[in-house]
Amino acid sequence: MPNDITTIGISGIYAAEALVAATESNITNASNPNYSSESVNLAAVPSASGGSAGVAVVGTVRAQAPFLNTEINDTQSTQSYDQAFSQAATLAQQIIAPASGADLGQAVQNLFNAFTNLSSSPQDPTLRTLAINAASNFAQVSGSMSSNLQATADNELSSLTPLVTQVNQTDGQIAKLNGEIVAAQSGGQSGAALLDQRDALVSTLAGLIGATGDANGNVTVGGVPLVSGGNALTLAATGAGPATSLQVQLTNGNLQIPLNQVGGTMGGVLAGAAAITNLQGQMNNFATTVATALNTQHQAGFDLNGNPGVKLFQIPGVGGPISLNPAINTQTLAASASAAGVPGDGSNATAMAALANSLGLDPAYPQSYPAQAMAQIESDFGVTAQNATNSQRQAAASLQSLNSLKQSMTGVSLNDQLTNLIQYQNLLQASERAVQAANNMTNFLIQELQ
Amino acid sequence: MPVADLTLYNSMAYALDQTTGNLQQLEVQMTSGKKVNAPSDDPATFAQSQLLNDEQSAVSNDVTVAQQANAKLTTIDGTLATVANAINSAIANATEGADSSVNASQMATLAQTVQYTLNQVIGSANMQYGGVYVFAGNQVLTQPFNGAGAYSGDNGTNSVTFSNGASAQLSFDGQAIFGDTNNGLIGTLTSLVTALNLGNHAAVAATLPQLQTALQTLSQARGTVAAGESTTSNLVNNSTSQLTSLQTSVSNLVGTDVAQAATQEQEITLQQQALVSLGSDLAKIPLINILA
Repeated sequence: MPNDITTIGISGIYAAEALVAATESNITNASNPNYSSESVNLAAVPSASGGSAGVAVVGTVRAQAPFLNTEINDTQSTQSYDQAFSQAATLAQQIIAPASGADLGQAVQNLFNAFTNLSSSPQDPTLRTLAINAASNFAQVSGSMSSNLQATADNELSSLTPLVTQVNQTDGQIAKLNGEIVAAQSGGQSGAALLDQRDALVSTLAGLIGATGDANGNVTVGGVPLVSGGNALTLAATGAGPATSLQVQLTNGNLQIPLNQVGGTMGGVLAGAAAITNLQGQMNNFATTVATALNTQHQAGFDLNGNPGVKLFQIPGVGGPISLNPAINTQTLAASASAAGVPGDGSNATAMAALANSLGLDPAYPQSYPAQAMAQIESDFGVTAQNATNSQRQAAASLQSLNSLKQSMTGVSLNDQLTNLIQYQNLLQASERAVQAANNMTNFLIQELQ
Repeated sequence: MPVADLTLYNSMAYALDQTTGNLQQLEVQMTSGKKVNAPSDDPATFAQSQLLNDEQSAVSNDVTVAQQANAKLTTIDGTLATVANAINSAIANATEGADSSVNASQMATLAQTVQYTLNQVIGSANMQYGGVYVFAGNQVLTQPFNGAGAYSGDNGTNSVTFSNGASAQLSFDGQAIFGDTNNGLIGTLTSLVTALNLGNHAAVAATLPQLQTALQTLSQARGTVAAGESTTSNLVNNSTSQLTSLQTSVSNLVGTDVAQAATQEQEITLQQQALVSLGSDLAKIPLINILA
């Protein structure tokens, strides 16, 4: 009988120690966002007589919320994607619609204004110079916007290199952890801390590239494996500019990741660069079509010497960049509609200014005047950027809610832990007293028998 | 549902991030004076404001050009008014010379007066404004009439067209208005001088209907000038109010309501202070800290 009590008491002490240890771990890690609270599984030990022989510590388990983990990773991927896209879009907006207001629309308007001025006094060298300067400024603004957009898209894509490195480092760490978890669990340990680390790394990968992980630590992106058990596959970015793609290097070849399946920051960077390239195309098309129309009208006119007008702009091809024709000067600017070389005829300058009221100059906007087409391009991109920002805010709010929900299931409440600690201290004291009582009983019996 | 301590801190940090973001946005609006600073702030409003800005630019440019054109046309009209006075003076001289009672000596004096008028008309027809000849057609850099009244300009005209489609003629066919050595006003005045010098009363009388025709021609030209003056003057007046209206529209669309923004800033700052205070209080919440 005392032996039974002693056994039960000692098992209680062990159990209490395990419980206190788990509580200590929980309190220590209360501020660690990747930590899942631990609890101890206990089981009654049956005695040979059919009663209880105490309690056994079955193991330490960590709180889990696998469904929420998946949701959090998905939302993290969306939030990171939208954030990266939004940042790229903000940079592009600063280029096409600078705070100074000196955008391409203003440059076009200034050019049309200059031709209106010229039409009033077409022989005036000052007005002719101002018209040439306005044309040059239009070409310059168009060219610098195009090159700045190109540089922004290139910068975005170049940011993939460190991200790829980060992905490869992370999937390497996950693969290593997978091995350690298997080893720990096969040795009878819970591997709770390792599992927490792995969850955090999978979440990092979700934010980086939109990866998803399974319960065994296998990680994929768009169905393409990044981590398979203890093996980490190498991600690489290939190609350049709009042809940039992501692929995973396998022993017998490379596997391309469908770009529309890439999420997280890398997906946002790729989509942002593509959107900027598309915007650059729209801006270039606008500048090219306006320049082409002005060229056609300028060639229909005559210069101060009565010679037919030459092209006002040089347009190297679709997409520009356009530049002022070096042959244009105050003599060769074709303001006149007459071949007689009359200096006071500004009919062609009037016709050039009238292009401001020409519908469909940019064929992409058949029902719009040039100013409307430019405003539409800016506005359309604004909608894209606004959607990304709104989506990012929504994802951030969802992420906050999901994390709170997950914390309520797997996080640590210090108040709860304190209550537990008092309870486990009581358990420890009770167990100690049981052992003490059994000891007293044994001593009493020994004394009585003597 | 238990509340993990981290949740409290995370929620507070999230709320603090939100208020900081809102405050930054508000500060940008107050600094720039605009509530729409980028297309993504409000794409539709941004596009509308861009169009209004473009229109403002075009109208403002029109005002400048119209003011210059109006000044030019006013000067031209003044010159033509002088010519009209000269024609009337010539008509008076011709009427006097047509009278058979006027003797040869008086006719010679009248001839000198009309010759002076002719020179005055040719001088007016060679009028320059801003360094260019106004009555040379489109040959604005060439003096249109020589001393005898021969025309070397052309019959072109040039007009300025404004962004609203209105136009005003700024250069004129001098030959159509003043004629030349053999035709029109100059031709008639030349004939009148000759007739007066010859003492030919009948020939002098014959110039009277031609002078009346020249006066009508001049009057038509003044009508064209007056129409241009009216167009440019109206454009300046209307555009000035249009510019004010456009500026108001742009301001209403994208301008920051400073009073409202200041109130919002105050509210957000209060929220932020409350959150910071809450953050310091959070540390005291766990029982473990109270019992410690």
